[in-house]
Amino acid sequence: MFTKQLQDEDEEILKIAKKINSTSGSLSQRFLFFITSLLIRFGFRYPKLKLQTFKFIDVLPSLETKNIYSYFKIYIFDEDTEIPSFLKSSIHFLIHHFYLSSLVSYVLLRVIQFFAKLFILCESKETLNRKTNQTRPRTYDILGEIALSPQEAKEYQKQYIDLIEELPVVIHNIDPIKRTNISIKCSGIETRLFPEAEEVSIQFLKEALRPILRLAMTKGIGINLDMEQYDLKSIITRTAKELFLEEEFKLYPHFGIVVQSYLKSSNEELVLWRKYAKLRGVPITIRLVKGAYLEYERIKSEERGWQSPVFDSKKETDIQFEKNVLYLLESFPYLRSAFGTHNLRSISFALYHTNQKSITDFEIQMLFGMAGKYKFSLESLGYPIREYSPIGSLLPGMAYLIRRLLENTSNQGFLYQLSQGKKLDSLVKNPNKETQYGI
Amino acid sequence: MEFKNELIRDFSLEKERSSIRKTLDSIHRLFPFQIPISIGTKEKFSEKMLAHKNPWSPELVVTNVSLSKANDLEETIQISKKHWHSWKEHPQEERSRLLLKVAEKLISNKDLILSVCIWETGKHITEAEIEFAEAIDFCRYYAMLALNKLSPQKTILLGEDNIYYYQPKGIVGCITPWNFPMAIFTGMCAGPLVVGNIVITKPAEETSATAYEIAKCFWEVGIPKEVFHFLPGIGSEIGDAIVNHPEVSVINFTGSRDVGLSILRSASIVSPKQTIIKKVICELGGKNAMIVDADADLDVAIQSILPSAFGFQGQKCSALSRLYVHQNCYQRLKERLIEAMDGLLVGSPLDFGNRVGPVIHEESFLRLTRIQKENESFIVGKTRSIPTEGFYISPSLYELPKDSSMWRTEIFGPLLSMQKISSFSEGIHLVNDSDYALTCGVISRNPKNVMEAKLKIDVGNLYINRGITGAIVNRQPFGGGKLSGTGAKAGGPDYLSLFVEGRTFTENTMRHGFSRDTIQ
Repeated sequence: MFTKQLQDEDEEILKIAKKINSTSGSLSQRFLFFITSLLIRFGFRYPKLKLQTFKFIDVLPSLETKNIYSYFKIYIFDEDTEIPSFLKSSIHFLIHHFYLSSLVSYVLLRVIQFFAKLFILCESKETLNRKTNQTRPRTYDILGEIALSPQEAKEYQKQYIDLIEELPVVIHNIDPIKRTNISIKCSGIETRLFPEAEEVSIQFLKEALRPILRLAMTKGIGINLDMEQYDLKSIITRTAKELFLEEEFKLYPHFGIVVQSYLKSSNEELVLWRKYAKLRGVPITIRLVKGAYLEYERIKSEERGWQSPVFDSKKETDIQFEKNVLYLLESFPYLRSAFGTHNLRSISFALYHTNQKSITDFEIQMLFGMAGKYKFSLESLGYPIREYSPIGSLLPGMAYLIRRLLENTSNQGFLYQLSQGKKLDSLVKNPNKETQYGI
Repeated sequence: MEFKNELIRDFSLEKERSSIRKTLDSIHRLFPFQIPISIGTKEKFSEKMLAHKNPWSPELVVTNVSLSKANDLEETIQISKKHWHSWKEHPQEERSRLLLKVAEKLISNKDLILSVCIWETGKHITEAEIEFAEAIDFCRYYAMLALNKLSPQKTILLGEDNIYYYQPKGIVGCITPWNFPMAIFTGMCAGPLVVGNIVITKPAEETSATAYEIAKCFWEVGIPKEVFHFLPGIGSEIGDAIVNHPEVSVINFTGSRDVGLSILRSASIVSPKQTIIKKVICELGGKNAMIVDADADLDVAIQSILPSAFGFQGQKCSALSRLYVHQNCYQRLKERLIEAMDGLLVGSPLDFGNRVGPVIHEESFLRLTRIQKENESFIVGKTRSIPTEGFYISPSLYELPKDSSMWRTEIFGPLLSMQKISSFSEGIHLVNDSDYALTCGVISRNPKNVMEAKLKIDVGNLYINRGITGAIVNRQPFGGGKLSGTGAKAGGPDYLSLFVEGRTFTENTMRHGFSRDTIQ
């Protein structure tokens, strides 16, 4: 089945992967990698404890500090986890006996905050400047509770506008990779998005987006519309398409959108975007990701009895991702690629093909606080990395932290596999091949 | 036979929206619908008709309803008695199969039925879609249930055969409400029919056209018109006649508490010609509460409160009207809730972007306006922008004194009251301090409190960390206790047993010391 050429290709991809993996990074990067691997190993060994821990982190933002221990006890000690009962009861006895619960509450809070800080760039735009002095390009995202009223949406919109105002003007001829970028969560700035009323939702969303786009344009900052759950995909996509063609926006080359490879429809999506960009005559950046709402989509489609819009297996998503990479690169220069992944095989695959096609105008996007070691080595190899960097309070940002921890501790995750001592060779295997041999 | 819930359409797809759009926007050309009385194979119109107006354009008459009288009922009963035996002796497989065909027939008329319902009630498209799916679910679920759960049970001994089996009860009068004219109407009629009863139905005056479209689907697939009669009209006339008729065995009623209790009283009187003890199945109101705990996820809380309290303008027996919020998050929740309420889009359901539509009719509108006026000083927030034409009531939030009647009486409108609690247990106490026991919600992440709620809260349907409306057949059998009803659980495993009587055959098979089994 596999031609010699494909075999060679896989070997080349493996070589790239090895090169990226071999650079060890700074001491702190290595320390972080060590911590993450430890967490992952721990998390997978004790799935019940992992579930309870996540539930505990989830409730934390709603707790007064003095109550934290009592919830910790309910979630971790009273529920069935892998911790032996005698250990649970003796720890609780000690804490209770020596009146330590306030102290323990405080310590727990600080520990969770420590982890949250690993993934959240800073708490507000005021604390931003020192960190932006770093050379790495970013795309900023604003964290928080779900916007549930027009006022809350207005506040988010204002936060985006303030952030853009705060950021320095980008020199006009700077290349798109180094250009500052903002990622916008559409459901945050407009609450009236109703799948059954797509047309009017699009009108609302356009109104909310226009001032942000306008300001970003004057400052030379790139704008990326994040993709959310499947329900909203059509609204966000259509809004982007209509808005980017409006007179004042149609020539701006630094707009972007997301395509999620876990969607069965992602190929079609790219075909449509290419046609669109060709028509518009100005490139669009496509951030190709695997997709962050997997569990949600599965739960929702089961509840409704609908066929799931996402692939069931990670392998299918990986295969789709590679197809999408090839299509994206073929669509250059209409579509500009931004590969959003931490998977070494996926990164190496994309790099191999950009090399083959001699495309240099692309970027790799990774989340702040994730895969630090790879970011470092990719940069030292001269590849462009952009960090998706959330800004927001640590506690309301807990939902974001949980998504990161889930990703890091998923037993299908790349880091997990690596931390389990799996050989790199087998980890960067062609996903198509795995199908072939039934691995 | 396996049961699966009917799918609801994905209205994010353009083709699904445009398919319903066409019917919805053109159906007004057929107004007003003329609704006949259907007695056996005969249909007729009454001389005087009752007009039902469209809730958002009250100058428009949607439906003219014939008014059935006591002599119409007498005629249906005579016809029914002649045809009952053949229907009752139909094999169960056959009746179940017919009900499955009803489901298919309904689906093929879906856009029409949905559109009629929306124009009669002012219901939002998605809510109508979900309600329609429930109607389909009832048909399929009861068809399955009748086959799987009501087949005869045998206990065979060496010399004795015992067979326990179920007989339909006879004539069932179904008096149905306007708020779920598709689901409840279908379910209340389909249940008794599938196990072999005769059904005489009186649909709500407000939604007779929707009910008639559904009844036609029953007849068209072969449910005999002689055992399923359609007697529209006014509750105090034909409704009373059905309740009081000596030959009606079961009254299946969903509606207001006052009417339900008066039915129970009337039905308990045995008239001279009567030879049966009437059974009354009542699904009455609710005064449903939700407790928001100190540790609640406020995003989840508000996303649960809004549709539960204001979905279909609060005109659901399961709707939320009492909100008990822990003091730790009271202020924050109140502020966010008020803002979210003010952002609700109120307007005609023809515009799918609107979240809240008009209430059912002028009477309701005036009653709710009066309640709003009387309690004006307790309003803490409301949706400000509402259309001036049509029966629109702005969703509003109250902080009421403890003795206000609004805490106790069912309101059937988008009015929500909230109160601060200092502990979760206080919340449970307040929830239970009610005449009703239908639905309740708990928003909490404390497993101990959630457990306490499960053990102590006295309601038929308890929902945790989600909204309290939208029960789904088979997943959440619906119905409550206390003055909320007689405990029927629609869409649940026990529903059909309300329409049957257990009978036993016991046959001695021994002859002079031998029997069928000993001689072999």
